[in-house]
Amino acid sequence: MKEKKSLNLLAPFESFVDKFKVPLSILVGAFLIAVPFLGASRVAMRNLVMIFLYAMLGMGLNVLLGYVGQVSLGHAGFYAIGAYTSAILTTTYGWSFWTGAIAGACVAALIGFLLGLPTLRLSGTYLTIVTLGFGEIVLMVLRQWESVTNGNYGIRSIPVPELFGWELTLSNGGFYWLILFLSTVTAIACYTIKNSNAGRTLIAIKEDELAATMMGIKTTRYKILAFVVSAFITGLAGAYYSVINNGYIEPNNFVFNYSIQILSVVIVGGMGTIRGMYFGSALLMMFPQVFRFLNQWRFVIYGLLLVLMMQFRPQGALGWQSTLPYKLPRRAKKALAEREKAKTVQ
Amino acid sequence: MKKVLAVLLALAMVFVLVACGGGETPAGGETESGAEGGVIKIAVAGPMTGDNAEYGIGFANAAKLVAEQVNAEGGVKVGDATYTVEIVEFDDKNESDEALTIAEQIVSTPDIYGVIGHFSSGVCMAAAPTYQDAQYINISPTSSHADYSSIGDYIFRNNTVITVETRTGAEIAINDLKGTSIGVLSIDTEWGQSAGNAMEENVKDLGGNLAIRQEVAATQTDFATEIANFRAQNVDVILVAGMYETLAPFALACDSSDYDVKLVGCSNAYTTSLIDIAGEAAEGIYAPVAFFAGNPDPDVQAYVKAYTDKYGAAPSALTTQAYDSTYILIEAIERAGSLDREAIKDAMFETNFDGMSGPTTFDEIGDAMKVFTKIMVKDGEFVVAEF
Repeated sequence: MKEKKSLNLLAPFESFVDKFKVPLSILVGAFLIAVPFLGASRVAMRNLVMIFLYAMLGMGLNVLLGYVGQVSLGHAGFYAIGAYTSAILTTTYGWSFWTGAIAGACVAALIGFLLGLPTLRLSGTYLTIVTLGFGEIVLMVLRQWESVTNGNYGIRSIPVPELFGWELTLSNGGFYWLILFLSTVTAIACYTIKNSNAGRTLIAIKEDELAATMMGIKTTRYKILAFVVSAFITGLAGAYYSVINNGYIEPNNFVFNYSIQILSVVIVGGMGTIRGMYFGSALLMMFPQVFRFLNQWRFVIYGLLLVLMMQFRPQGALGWQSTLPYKLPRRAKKALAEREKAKTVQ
Repeated sequence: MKKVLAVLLALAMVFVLVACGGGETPAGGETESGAEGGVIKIAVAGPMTGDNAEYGIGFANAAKLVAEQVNAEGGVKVGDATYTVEIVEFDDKNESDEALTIAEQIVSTPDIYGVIGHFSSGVCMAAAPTYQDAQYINISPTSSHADYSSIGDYIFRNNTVITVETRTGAEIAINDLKGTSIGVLSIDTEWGQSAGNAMEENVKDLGGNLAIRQEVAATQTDFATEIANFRAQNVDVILVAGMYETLAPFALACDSSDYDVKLVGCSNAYTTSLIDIAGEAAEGIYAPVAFFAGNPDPDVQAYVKAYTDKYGAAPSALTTQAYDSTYILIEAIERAGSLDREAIKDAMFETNFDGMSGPTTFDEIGDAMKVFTKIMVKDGEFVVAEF
């Protein structure tokens, strides 16, 4: 009964959004860009930065979890690799943030590839356990490889990004615009992937791996592709994180908890959706802040919320199926039109 | 495209939520009463939930006790005006992400004049630059990262510094116990190595005869090889850079192999677990400590009693450092004679505070220089050392 009701509300909402998508996106986009000029406090800016950061991390894991259906409990490892690579290149070797960040993302992607090669032949819980181990191994390496990572002392004095001589900080809105840009690019990339041939293949693997194999899809190859893309996005987010943390990172910033936090964003928001990543991140980041006055109780309520969510809405808060008619790809449309034409000519 | 749109819409809603949430968060639940101008707020930031909650709650308890005592005595006199002290608690879950958000909240509150906290070194390191930029005094009662105090002149550490602590240990070994051949046993962690190095330097510096250094794994409990090596060098005093998990089994091993040697630990040896594990073998273990609850000094006893009466358990060394930090900050505000942050910071450097965790001054970068109390285990209890 309840489902029906929400569906009834959803359809007009979706068609409304679809109808006015151009003015709406301009409006919302302009509003988001203008936020730092609207007198947002530093606390609000900081919260927004964390929401967008976790939305980006969520989108990274979503490529793996939402599209191919592989659970990773080791994404804090890729997050750490991106952060440390970028931090070491910018502090020790004097690289700029921009090149350092791309290098960080690439190293994370490379490690993702190497890890993916042998392990993605595993599936389900076995893969999950391997990723869990991966996260822990990264952490051990960060703690022990002192000559490179400075061990438990961490890396400090990581320079802030500069754009044509303008230093990006939290108070001048630079951090906010940077993550707004990064997460938007990520969202567009994810949207493109999802609606591409590769994206449909990934979803086919998720829905039924055996059927996908029988259709001639090389599942391991596509799973590795998803793993690499996922690691790249997460590594890029890590590089961004290394500069917003007051220029200081240490192994404790990448412990298992953070893998779980990223996973929660994806699951709470709605696996496989992009909108859900923003929503899940906003919910998980803001809940403890808004309910700070509850002191110790806030995490009890937070836990309760997650349990209720999984019980009554396992597809995630915004994990609805679209009610709009399926939009055919342009090529298919063209082919159909031609067939229609051929029919009428006959 | 519609998905992207839906996302953007959701974001817009979220922003409204954030803007409201961010603006009104009083964080800590204390009443806002800045309008009267009669309140000085001090923030206590630490883990109030999670694995390390006992430390953060200890900080908050200690600070609240100070506020109660100061307010009972008429408050803080700044120039001609008198202010009452109010403690505002912040929970950082011992995570730097959370700590940075809290730091932003603290520096957005104009009537907070100092921050006692952050517990673990990494969290302190991440949050400190925010306080430094905003010129908020930050005193960490626990940070042990070597670079912490040098982040800036508003950043202070009221924790023992390993070089000063091991200096007292070396003094016990050379001057008090008259050791002729001194050994060092250290564990293979980052802390153990720096403590072991500091011990070696201090022994050499005091003119002692450093015979041999042995390194063991932090979890090691069999010390037959090490004892044989120490014995071969006729070592009569061993400085141990390890937690009680190493010191206690080592003392047992020395005892069971009839090796007559005196052991000197670090301040972390001051825990009842040492005596519980080592039993008889713990007798005659020495250690330098900043805070000693059994100190016969009447001020310390009054403090221990006040704390125990209020919270039902005796204060730990770290809690005591938070207690002293709060007093140091309040005294600095009184000495500065104004609520100008820079004046308070300058007054902080002139601190000469006879605290519960030993007489404390700050060096030029803001590290606490403490005078340590020498203690020993006697008849199954910690007492002030007799030589």
